[in-house]
Amino acid sequence: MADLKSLKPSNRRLIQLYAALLYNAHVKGFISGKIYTGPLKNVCVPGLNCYSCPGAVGACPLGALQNALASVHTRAPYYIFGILMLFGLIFGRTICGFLCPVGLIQELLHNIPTPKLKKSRLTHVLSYIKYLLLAVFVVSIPLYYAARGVAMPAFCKYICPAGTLEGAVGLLSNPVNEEHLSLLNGLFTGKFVIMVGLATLSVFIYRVFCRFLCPLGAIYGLFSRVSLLGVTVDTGRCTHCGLCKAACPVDIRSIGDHECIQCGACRNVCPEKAIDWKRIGRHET
Amino acid sequence: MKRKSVLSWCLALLFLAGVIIYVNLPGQEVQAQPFSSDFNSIPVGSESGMRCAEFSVETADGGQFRLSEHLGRPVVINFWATWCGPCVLELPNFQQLSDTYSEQLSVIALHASLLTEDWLAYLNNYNYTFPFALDADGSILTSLGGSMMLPQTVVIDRNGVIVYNKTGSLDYPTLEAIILPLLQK
Repeated sequence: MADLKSLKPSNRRLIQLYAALLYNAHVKGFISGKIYTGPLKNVCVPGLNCYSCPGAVGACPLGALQNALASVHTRAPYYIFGILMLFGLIFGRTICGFLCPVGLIQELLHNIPTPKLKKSRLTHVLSYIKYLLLAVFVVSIPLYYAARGVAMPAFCKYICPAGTLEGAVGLLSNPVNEEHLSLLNGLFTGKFVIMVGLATLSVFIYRVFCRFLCPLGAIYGLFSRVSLLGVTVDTGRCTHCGLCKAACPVDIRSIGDHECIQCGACRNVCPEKAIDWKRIGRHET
Repeated sequence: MKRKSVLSWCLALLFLAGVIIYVNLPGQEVQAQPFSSDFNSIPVGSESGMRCAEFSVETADGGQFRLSEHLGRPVVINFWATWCGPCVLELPNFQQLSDTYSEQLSVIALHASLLTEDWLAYLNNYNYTFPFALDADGSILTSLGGSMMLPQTVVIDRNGVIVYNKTGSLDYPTLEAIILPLLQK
């Protein structure tokens, strides 16, 4: 008989499920095939969740950023910059570990029992690609086209797997929208290949999108050291045994750095209990 | 410690339930603005049988197209985009409709809010004589239930009521068949 206790979802998993449900609370959208367009849609959710998902109640922060940059000549993008900074300063990449449905999906796929790719120097180098994607597809291309009066949310349009899964597949799988299927073209095929490819790779590579491609994780990672929430090491207790880094599923150099998704795996294995969640007012050594 | 955790989860679930109820209330999907002179009790919306929301746009030749000014004749609205192949292919059908029924109905082509090139420069390559305008913020398309799936054609009768609102290309015979019953009498 399997150990039933090990089947109990962790608190982190429960919070991930809660967030996924909260972001997609517009349940009737899955029945009607139409997206929610009410007032809540003006608010960004902290994690990656496509605006065009029939269930989405909020906007995607990356989509909002690209669209704000696309109209930068008419209005300065204070709102989205402010929201991203606020999320970053409070949560940092705990959003990645706790509040992102795309992260959740990848983790669930990774639970499928297969051989897994180990971390290496190569995977650490690859983790910098997400900064390139941020610079090129989220910032530069939209700005380039904005200067020419054209809206071009390049990451949403050409890459984002969340958009393909939640938006395109979410809408097109409803028979109400079947007349739109005839409009699909090479752009959709490309994005569909990307989505299926990443989903497949997720089975073998832990959080492949988060570690190597996600521009949102790149942004939040910039706040890792200063965010209110996240893991931190009590250097007084640390014996440098390295068990934490070995247990870490992503490509960190040190605990809580910009690659850390704040999942807490390190905290669970530290024999000296030197790693814990940051606490306001606690003396940081 | 355990009690605090249970309490937090209960509050969180209550909040989630509240959000689910709020966003799934009816009437959240389409935000449309009604005609200002409104003695007609038919509600504004995007389905057949509902009234089309008023809009006013600047046309490519510098004029103004205000929907309410065309009350009394059927209006055909075609949403298109330069980047949409099927849209561009069917534009001549609307030109033909406009030529054949010029005194009896109004036709307007609205370019969707997502631009990938200078649509006015694009138009200069063609000789369309019916009005073209830009749905700059996408509000007209949204009020008619559209969401960037193009082409979308909306046909409105002489009272401003929608009789046809569908996505997909239309050949000339089908288009003509839709507007003919609206011209009688």
